Amino acid sequence: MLSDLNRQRRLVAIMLPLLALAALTGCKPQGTSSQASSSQVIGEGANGPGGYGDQGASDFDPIAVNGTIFQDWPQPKVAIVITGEQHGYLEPCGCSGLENQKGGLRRRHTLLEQLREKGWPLVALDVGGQVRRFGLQEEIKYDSSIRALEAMGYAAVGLGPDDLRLPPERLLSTAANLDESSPLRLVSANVGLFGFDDSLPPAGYRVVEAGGVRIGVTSVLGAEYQQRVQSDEVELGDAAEHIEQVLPTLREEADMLILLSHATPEESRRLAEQFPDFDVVATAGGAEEPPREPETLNDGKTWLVEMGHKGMYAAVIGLFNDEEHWRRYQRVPLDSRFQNSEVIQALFREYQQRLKTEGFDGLGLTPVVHPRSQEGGDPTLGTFVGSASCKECHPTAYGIWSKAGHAHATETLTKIDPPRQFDPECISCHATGWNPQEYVPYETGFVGIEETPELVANGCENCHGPGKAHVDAETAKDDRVQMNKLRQMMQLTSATAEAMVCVRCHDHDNSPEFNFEQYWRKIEHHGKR
Amino acid sequence: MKTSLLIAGCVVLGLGFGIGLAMSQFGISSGYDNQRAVGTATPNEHPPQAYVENPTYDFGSMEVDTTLQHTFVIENRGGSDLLLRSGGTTCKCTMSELDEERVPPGESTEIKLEWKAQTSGPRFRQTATIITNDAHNGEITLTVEGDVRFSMQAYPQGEIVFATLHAHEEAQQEVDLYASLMEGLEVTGYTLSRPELSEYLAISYVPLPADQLDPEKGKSAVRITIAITPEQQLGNFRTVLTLETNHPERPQFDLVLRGNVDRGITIFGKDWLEKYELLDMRTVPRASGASHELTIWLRGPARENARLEVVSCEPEFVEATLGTPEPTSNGSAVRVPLQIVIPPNTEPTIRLGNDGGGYGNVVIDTHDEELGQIRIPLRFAVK
Repeated sequence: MLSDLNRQRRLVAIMLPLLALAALTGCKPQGTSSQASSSQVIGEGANGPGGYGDQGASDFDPIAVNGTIFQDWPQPKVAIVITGEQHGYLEPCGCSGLENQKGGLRRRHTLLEQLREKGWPLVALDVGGQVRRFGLQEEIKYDSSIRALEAMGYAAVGLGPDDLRLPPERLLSTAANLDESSPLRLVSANVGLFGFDDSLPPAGYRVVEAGGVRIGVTSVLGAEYQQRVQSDEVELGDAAEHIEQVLPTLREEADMLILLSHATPEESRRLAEQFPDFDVVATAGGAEEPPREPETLNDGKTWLVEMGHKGMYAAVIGLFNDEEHWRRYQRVPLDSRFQNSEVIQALFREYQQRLKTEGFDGLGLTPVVHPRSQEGGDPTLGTFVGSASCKECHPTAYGIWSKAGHAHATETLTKIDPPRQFDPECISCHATGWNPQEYVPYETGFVGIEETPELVANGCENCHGPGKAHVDAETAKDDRVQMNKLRQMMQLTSATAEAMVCVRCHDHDNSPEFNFEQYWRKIEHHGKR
Repeated sequence: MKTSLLIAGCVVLGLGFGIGLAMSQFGISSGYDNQRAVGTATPNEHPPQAYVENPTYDFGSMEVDTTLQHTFVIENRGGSDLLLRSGGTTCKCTMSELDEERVPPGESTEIKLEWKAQTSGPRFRQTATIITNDAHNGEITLTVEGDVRFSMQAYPQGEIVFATLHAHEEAQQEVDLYASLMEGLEVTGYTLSRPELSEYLAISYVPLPADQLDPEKGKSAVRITIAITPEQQLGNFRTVLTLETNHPERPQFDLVLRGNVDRGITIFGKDWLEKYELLDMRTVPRASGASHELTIWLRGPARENARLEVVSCEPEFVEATLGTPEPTSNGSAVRVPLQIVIPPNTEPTIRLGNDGGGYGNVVIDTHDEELGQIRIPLRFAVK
């Protein structure tokens, strides 16, 4: 009996590890440890580092909405990840409901890390277009983006027209400060910063090897986009002529050729047809959402791949030791199946710290005159006084406002990681007295939580207009005509609000779920109550 | 024998469990379980078969803010019920209600996609995903695409940027303002959101001759010429140029003008911390010393006017040597190498900032009154 019991115990002791081992083996069909982390991705949402409080847990299923990826892909001998046209969106496009939005460098890094952990030899390339505006914030953003791409192990990064509208010495400075061991190179065959000079970035081409495949990469800026770069210090050449210059070397040194084409899809298509040596032409300038499959050109030899906008997608091309399926394409939606990378989050913190260090003045944000001042010729018409000034005469409306999200708009920014109250692109809708679409303060608008505490939160005046003239007239009570005129000026109908006011912040990017009827019910208030 | 069978059974069970776990959880490698997605479907010999004749529809050219819709038809060409449910849409497109629909064999159902033309670029593409119980077509992607036309549009698009302006040097840019459908567009006047900038700006506008019109962009256009002759103190500026037009739908059109006036001297190189404008030499080993290479870039009038000379180094053991100025290939800048050396066997010294003995300094004179001197703070500790 005892012997049987011992035998059973021995069997259990043998079986349990075997069961566990077999289960683990089954968990890792690719034979790497990465699956453990991949397996944690689905359904966890984006509430990792930097997640916004309002996205919370939800039943949003990114795989059901955006589809599966890498289905039936065996281990490739090399995978080429191509991105581009980030357009300044370091984070998923917009700030609200991030879980159902796509994009962001933190998720992109996670994708790359997961592929690397699966043992896929990777080459990461970017068509360019890190920023979309001009100014010191964009210069800092460009620098931060390139450092993020460096951290992700990108090999070649092209230049978009808005990148090239930044002062060229800033681009050189960013390139000069890359780590000595960095694999990243700015690449362009037809763009010269301060002229075409082999000793300066960008390089005309690059050949990188991964998985035993030598991949030759060059990049061009197309003719239409060149019109947007109006700088004597940036030299631009004809795309086709400059491709011809680098092509012989690429043919000689590489097994596979890729053109990063910052051009319209039409021009990229022409270049692809003119230079059929390229196996892949990655183009900018398409629709926001790239097609699911690449366009085939040159009798199937060349794939034309669109990047989409705002860094919402990554294109992945796998090469395989399989004559029938020697290459595959996957459009990867960078949705909430990918957790936020802590490495990139650390760079985001640094980015926000740099904005804080510069301050709004340092970023060159000169306050602008409010349109009401301009139109009325009276500075007080465009002067902000803060929501507390409204409370005495409009207690009910103030009470409704103070309980709603608008009253906590600035506070929201201070509580997220990293805090964003020093970021003009965030504060413009999260405080009182800014132009929300242009990211600039109005004169007398919010300066800082300590400097202008009365303008904290998205206050009454953001919708109704600056209140000083109205408050002054109501306090003095000596000019009935002027009082009525100013009261009229402050009135806002729901029709006007719906058509012209709310959408300045609740736009497609930042408030994709916005529905006036539903949102209005949360803050509904009428007249002098 | 029994033991062997039991062990083998465990291995098979474990493998199955593991693979199942992997397939159900991996964000990357798993397939989507369409059986789970649409409810329990039992295997049968006549499975459903989803078919859409044209899953992509091109709206062609749409005016901005207009709404168009298209109805797709999904047929069931299989032998048993086809189950459909919404897999969601990309964020700017709406789809007709589709909770969970059952399409009998031989029948079809309609799905409507609606798109309001609001996009950042001229081309748009939006998709909706339908989840099915067709084992060979578990996800159907319906796509609407097209081009958005604006009643008025400026080319080149976007902000008008004068990236590198230099004091007293005129710069000029041209923008063509197109009306997509209207003949005879005119600009009748303009205002600036910062009227004080009119001192530096000259705005002119003329109708674009017919032979220069791009018919793909519109039926008429006005060429706007913006010339600026800035002063140094203008710095980093931004203003909105509001053009008054005779267009009935767009009587005003805003162009954002931005630019930066700098003195035309930029330093960069390894360990030059641009945001603090200092050279970070970090810890310098006493035995070996350290050497850093920087480049001073002279642009605009500074190319001609600056004659650089090192006038002081502090502490005195710091050596700073300027190289030969070299114009860039297109002549838009002159670069001057600068080598800064802390020689070997220097006495231990700490110059780490306010709390660490202040910074060291190299001062270079430009011999130009307006450009003044260039100061290069050095942060280091010789140990």
